[in-house]
Amino acid sequence: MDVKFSLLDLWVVSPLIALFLFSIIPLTVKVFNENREGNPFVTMSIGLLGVILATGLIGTYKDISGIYFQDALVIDGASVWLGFLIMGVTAVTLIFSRENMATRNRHFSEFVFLLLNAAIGMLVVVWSNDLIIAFIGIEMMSLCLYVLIALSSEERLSKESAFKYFVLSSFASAVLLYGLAFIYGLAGTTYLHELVNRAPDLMGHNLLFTLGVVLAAVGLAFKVALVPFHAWAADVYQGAPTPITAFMATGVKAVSFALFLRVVLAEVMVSPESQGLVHFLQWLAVLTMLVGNIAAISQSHFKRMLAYSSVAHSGYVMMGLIAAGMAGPMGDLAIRSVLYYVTVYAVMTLGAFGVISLMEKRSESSIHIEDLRGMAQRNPWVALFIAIFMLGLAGIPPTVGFFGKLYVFTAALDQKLYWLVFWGVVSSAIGLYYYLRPIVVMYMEEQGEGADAVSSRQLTSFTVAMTALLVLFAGILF
Amino acid sequence: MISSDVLLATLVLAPLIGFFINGLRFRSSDCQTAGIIASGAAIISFITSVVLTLRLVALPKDGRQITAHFFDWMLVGDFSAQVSFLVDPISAIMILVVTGVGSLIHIFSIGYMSHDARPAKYFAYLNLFLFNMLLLVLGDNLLIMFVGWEGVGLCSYLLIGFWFTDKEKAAAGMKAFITNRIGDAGFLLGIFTLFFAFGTVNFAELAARMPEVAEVGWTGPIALACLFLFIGATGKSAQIPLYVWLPDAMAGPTPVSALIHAATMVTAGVYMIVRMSHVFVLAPNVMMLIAVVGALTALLAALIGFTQNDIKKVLAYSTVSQLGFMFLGVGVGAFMPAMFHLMTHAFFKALMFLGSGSVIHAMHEEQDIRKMGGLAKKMPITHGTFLIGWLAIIGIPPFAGFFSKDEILWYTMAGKMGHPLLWLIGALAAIGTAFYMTRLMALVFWGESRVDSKVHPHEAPLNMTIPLIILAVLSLVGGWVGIPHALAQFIPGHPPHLLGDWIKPALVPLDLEAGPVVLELILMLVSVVLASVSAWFAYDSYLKNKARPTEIKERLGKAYDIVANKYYVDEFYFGKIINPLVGLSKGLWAYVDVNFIDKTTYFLADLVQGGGRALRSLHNGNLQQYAMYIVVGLLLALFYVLY
Repeated sequence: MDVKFSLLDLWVVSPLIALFLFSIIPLTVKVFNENREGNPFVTMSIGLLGVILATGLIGTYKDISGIYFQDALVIDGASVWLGFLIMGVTAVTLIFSRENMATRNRHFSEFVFLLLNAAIGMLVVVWSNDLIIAFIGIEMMSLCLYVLIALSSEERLSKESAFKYFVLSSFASAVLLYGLAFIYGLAGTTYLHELVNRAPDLMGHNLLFTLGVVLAAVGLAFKVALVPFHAWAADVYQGAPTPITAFMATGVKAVSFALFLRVVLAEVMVSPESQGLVHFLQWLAVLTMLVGNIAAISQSHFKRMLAYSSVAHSGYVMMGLIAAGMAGPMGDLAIRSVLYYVTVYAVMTLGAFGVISLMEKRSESSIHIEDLRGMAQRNPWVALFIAIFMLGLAGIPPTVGFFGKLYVFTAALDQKLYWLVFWGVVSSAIGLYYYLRPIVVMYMEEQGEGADAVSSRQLTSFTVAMTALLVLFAGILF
Repeated sequence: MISSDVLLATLVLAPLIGFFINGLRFRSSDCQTAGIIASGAAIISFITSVVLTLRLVALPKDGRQITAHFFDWMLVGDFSAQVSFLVDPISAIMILVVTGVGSLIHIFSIGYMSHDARPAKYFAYLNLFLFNMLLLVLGDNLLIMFVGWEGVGLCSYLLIGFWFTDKEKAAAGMKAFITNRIGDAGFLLGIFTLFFAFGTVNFAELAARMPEVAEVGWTGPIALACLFLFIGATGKSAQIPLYVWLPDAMAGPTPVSALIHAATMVTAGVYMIVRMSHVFVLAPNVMMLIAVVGALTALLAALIGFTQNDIKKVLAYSTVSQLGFMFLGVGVGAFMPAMFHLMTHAFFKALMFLGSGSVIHAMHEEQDIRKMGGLAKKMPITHGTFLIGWLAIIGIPPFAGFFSKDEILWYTMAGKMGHPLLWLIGALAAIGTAFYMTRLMALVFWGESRVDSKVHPHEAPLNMTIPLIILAVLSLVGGWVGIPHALAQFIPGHPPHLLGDWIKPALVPLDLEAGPVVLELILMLVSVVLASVSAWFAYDSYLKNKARPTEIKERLGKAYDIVANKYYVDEFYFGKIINPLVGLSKGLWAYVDVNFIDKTTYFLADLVQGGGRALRSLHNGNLQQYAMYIVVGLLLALFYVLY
């Protein structure tokens, strides 16, 4: 095979190279330093520098839309936007993990290395135009994540959840790859821009191709945690160190949705003969919203509650995604609604997990909702931030969460998905119940012994405050 | 040269920044610092307003527009809301008045609020008000105007209830807020109607999309929209039937009454109608209604002015009455004279409110005019400036009020959309104004002193008297920009009607077909003579024949009681609207809420919680079970899609 690169091809992968080079610096230093862990602040700063450099490089992509690297990578508006989102999430995760006791341990250099490499995998996924390249990106991201979860200083739950995630995720990856094999076998291509032309003829007419698409959809449904492929989420989110939970709930979820979006935009769903997949995905979306919200109600563990909330939000994103799949190339509004939702969800969730990270005194700490009792008197600012994030997740105006919901609901209504929107509204109402509970506990119940913010974690506090401002005002201003 | 965008941004943001600075240090009790910060912000805004207006003057006559688009606020489907500003001759007058009079009142407040515990908070609110008022007048679409409209309402509420520990004052704030909400609902409905009918809320686009011919009847989209918008205007500008909040609003600090409840905010309704003149002229029925409401408000409020004994209440009813004149003006299509009167009124009414503030300050918070008298000797500057305000409001030439009020009356009599009956009501209101304002002068400043022996009135400090003097000068010369042609021909140099030439290109072209010059001159003479006679009668009644007012009062009997009790409008609102509503809602709460809604929600909550518990047992942490869910889901998917 004759492989040729142009300089522009190299430019497109330059953020990946930059991230990788910066990721190995702390590790190399550690090896030359007789395996002694360096100053975590310096390690974090090196990681942040890599992220900032990569962000700057992505920023230069504005005028080079197109397909690169032997058609493997695609640069368009969504690529750049998601690239920024991933870099932002990675930077915030770096900041949180430097000040969290579960992640700031004697393996912090390895932690930063793995985190940046997970980010590389994520960039590959969101930029991929080739399903196989996307799969490699997913595996690269997942491999790093298994280790990142297990690296926690907490000894029991983190190891258990790393193992669970590994087994179930491998299972789902196998299903996904099996589906991709069918798609390649029958369509003769794994390139999305070629698949667009061939899929409509095959979908519904060819049983094996349809089977392949369903298998791939199920694999992706696992990655974005749709019911009934969601069960891992609660256990893994609870067991992983909080910064990594934040990373998974925001970055990994956004990336998986981005790939899902690229697949449905390859017109695998719009064939008039096969409405089955569209209907099935709608069922999944409704189930996901209902189960996520109802299951969250009976949780007392704050992180676990947010994990179910994360499942529920996957359902809302699915509404926009289904609308995008149905609208096909005309679905600009729906595509925007999906990208907007994953972004605002990322901002709100980063903030919420950031506050939890702020309150975890030891690596084994676990914050229960009851622990927030009387928080408004003990620590009014932190209480205010939690309230803002909860209102945002519940979708109360004027927070960004409200606008996110507004856009996905509008996109779904444009496609006449009335009962999907109906269930969306019903489950949002159910969601209010558990989002308001921490606020009630913090503001209306008597002062008690409980959680408190660790005041020395200034970087985390600052980041949380900034996200709170974004949640409050970004929806009105942009 | 600084770009206009930057100037506009500075104009609007300076008060906002002032608000943030003083808002962050709201506990401070240092009146000087807070006042200097806030006044500085206001003065910066004033300077930029002047620069912008000068740039506007330099532009050709029919292209006088400076626009600045800042960003898209929201885009939903066809609907786009843009944050963009428009300076044209109409809004230029408003920004000059708002920031100019605003600056003077800020400076006056430094002296007036010097004994207050929370001056920083006060100045923060004042700056926030300026910011919102500028949004209101500068927005190039109804939505931005509405944001400002709500914002000034909020500031008005906060400032009326500034001394909220006094229950009565807090209640006055509440009353203003609720009354305004009723109007605001109308305003919103008007915006919706226009958007649904014409697909835009931008002023220029609206003007362009208006049909050629006027609408007939009351139910067309334009008439409906104008009716709703006018309801909004009656709330904000205190017209019948929603005027009841303004007299109570005098509970706020006096400079606030001068700025918000006399010079600027309450004129927002007039400004809105002038700004939308292209739309309103197409709804002749609504225009007629506006004229009638304006005229009646002018007369009825003036009559109440006869009976009030609180210096600020007299001025408040006078404001309601003068606003009625402005609405009478816009109602008969005299948009330019209405803006003219808005401007001159801002000068002389702000002057008189600040003057009353100076009096109240000197009298140690005494507001009852029966306990004043003879203050002219003790407070010469306050008296002198108040005197000019008095001459201006009763319409004696060459003071400002004469020109603007007479122009409105002239169009009411001779304009195409006017009517002699409306003129008669307006003229009676003007005569009434002359009477009660003279009564105020006589009881407060002239005659012998009835001041309590413990109180020793003294002239106010310089930072309070200088704004008074500047406003007095403006109340004298402010009318000279609009000398009518009928008079100008007798004056050497024949001064042109500057204001008319300035505003007319921005208004809807409208030929009012005014009558002969001789008639105009006769009417002027009549109104000046009548006002002078009325003023002399009041002077004579309150300083010479002191028994006469009581005599008249007794002879009127019941009629006087009705006027003195403000026609029992408040009692009517409470008895027939508010109390039944409260009763109804109590009934709904006791029966429907407790029995039906509560029980349903409890049931639903139990249902959902039960579901949550059931789901919890499905997520038991068992890995094999989780893998099984995946397999089951996969099989279901295949079954569902493939069959």
